[in-house]
Amino acid sequence: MRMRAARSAPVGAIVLIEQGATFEMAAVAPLVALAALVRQSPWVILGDDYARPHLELLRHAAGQPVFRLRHTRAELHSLATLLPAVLA
Amino acid sequence: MIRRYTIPTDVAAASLADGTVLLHMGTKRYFSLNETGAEIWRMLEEGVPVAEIPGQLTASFEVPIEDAHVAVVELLASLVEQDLLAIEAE
Repeated sequence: MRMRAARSAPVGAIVLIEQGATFEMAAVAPLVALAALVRQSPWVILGDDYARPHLELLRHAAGQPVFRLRHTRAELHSLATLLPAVLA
Repeated sequence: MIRRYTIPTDVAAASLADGTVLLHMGTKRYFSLNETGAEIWRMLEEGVPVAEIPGQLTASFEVPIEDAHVAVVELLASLVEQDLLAIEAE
C-alpha cells in the first residue's frame, strides 16, 4: 500500500477539548484562547530564547477561530466524526 | 520622591484585541489583563509617566478620573507584587 504524501493546510480553527457533564461547544474570546494555549503549551520547559517566539506563535494562533468543546464520555470515541459536523 | 516603574527583561507580553497575556519567564507564571489592564500595560511599555495614565484612560474608556486613578493604582500594586513591574525611585 502506498503511503499518502504529507500535506500542509491552513489552520481552519482551534478546538480546545475537555470532558464534562454535557456536550457543548462555544466560541472562545481571543484572550481566553491565548490563556488556554499558554496553559497547555510546553513553554515553561523551553529555554528563555524560545519562550518569546513561542508566545508570539500562540498569540497568532489565538487570533484564529477558537472553540471550546466539552464532551461526555459517550462522545469520547466519536470526536473525530463529530468535529467536522460541529465546525461546519 | 518620584516613583518610576520599569518592566523587567524577563517579562514577555502578547497583546490581543481584548487583552494582554504576560509571561514571567523567571517564575514561569502567566497573567491575563483585560482591556483596561492591557491599555495601562501598553502605556507602561511606551514609557508614559504614571501620573498621566489615569487621564489618558478617561479618554479611552469614558470613565471618571477617580475610577481611572484607582484602577491604575490597584493594577500597579498587583504587577509589582507579581514581579511583573519594578519600582525605581528617582
